[in-house]
Amino acid sequence: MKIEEAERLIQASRPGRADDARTQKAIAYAEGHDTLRERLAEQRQFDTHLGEIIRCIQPPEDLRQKLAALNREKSPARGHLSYLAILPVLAGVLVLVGIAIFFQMRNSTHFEGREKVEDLIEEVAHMSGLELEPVASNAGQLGDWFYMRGFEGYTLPADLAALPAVGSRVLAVDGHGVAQVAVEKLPVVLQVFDAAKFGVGLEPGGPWRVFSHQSWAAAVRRHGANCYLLTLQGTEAEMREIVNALPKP
Amino acid sequence: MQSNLLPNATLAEFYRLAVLLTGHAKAAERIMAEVLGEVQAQFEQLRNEANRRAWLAVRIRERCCAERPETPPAPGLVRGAGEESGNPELLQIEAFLVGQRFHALPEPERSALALFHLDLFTTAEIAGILKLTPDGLAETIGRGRNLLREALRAMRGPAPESP
Repeated sequence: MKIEEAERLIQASRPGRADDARTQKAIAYAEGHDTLRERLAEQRQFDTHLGEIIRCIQPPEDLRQKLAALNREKSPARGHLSYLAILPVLAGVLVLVGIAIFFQMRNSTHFEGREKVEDLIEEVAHMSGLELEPVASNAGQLGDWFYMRGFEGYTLPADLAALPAVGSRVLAVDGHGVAQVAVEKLPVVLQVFDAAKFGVGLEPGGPWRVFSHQSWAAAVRRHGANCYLLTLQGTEAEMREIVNALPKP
Repeated sequence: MQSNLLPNATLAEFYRLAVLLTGHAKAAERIMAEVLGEVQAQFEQLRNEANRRAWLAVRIRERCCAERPETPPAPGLVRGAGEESGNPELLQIEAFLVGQRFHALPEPERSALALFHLDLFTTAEIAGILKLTPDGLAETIGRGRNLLREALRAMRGPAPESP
């Protein structure tokens, strides 16, 4: 190991904690080097002192209560989603409508290119959230943002455009771009992609197709050339609540 | 309220992070409340505990970076790095004073040094949160440490002359 490398790596050595293998090598090197040994000792003394001081920053005993109170003050009412709690009751009524609607719904989840859509659901399932770049605007205002990142043709219908976006990214699936948007205050990720490029044969302007894949629920529909896919970890019933709560176009 | 999902020790570490990045306890509480409220939906999507913590750290950092009040003038530190630990009351005062200097550090040095000193992430995870390479993180921590050391030295004033 060169001295420059050791000098750089020992700066990330943490007092009282296990270092990674490279840092351990750097420390071993430093301890055999007069100047670096002295520097490391000074660094550890400073870090220990600073760590002791930082540990003294104690949260107030009632922090949880304070946070809950602040959250209630800052957050507007949960909005139109809260009254959707009654929708399970409505869903129960729908069951009474009978098997005809059941089969109609079942058939509606089968469409050309569904396997490609399932691939996109799995992309979301493997995300940690850190892949997204933070954004703070409505989803409909991200056209330029996506264009600058190589995704052309990002447009949203009116019911999706007003959703508040919190993070976005462009990913390539089978060589084709997909725009991803994490929606604030809703547990969904919106994906926009070119229907023809992914071979998805939904009719433009058709209704949401809600279906399950593994432990995920999805809603997909086509508007113009694009497909719009909403994904959440949950049930079809939860997804239906969300799409039913979208503003009507 | 997502604070219920965090153990006390983790919540306390995030509180320390917010205090170090803002320099103000009230601002730290407000930012934590906002972030914990807003990420509720995203939190449900993150099944891995480390990912949840990383997501929270990213959001708290963003909020703290968005508001950086002017650094108020601060008196000198009570003791130097080589001196014996003071009593708990002095440590509390020092914690306040360090917080005052800490939040005036530039980014990403400020965040790197804060995360480095908290029991939330490994250095590899910190590098991921700050989008730095491991070597870049080490250099950033080193720069942050030097800047803080200089700032604290300036607060303490010149060393007393020996008789």
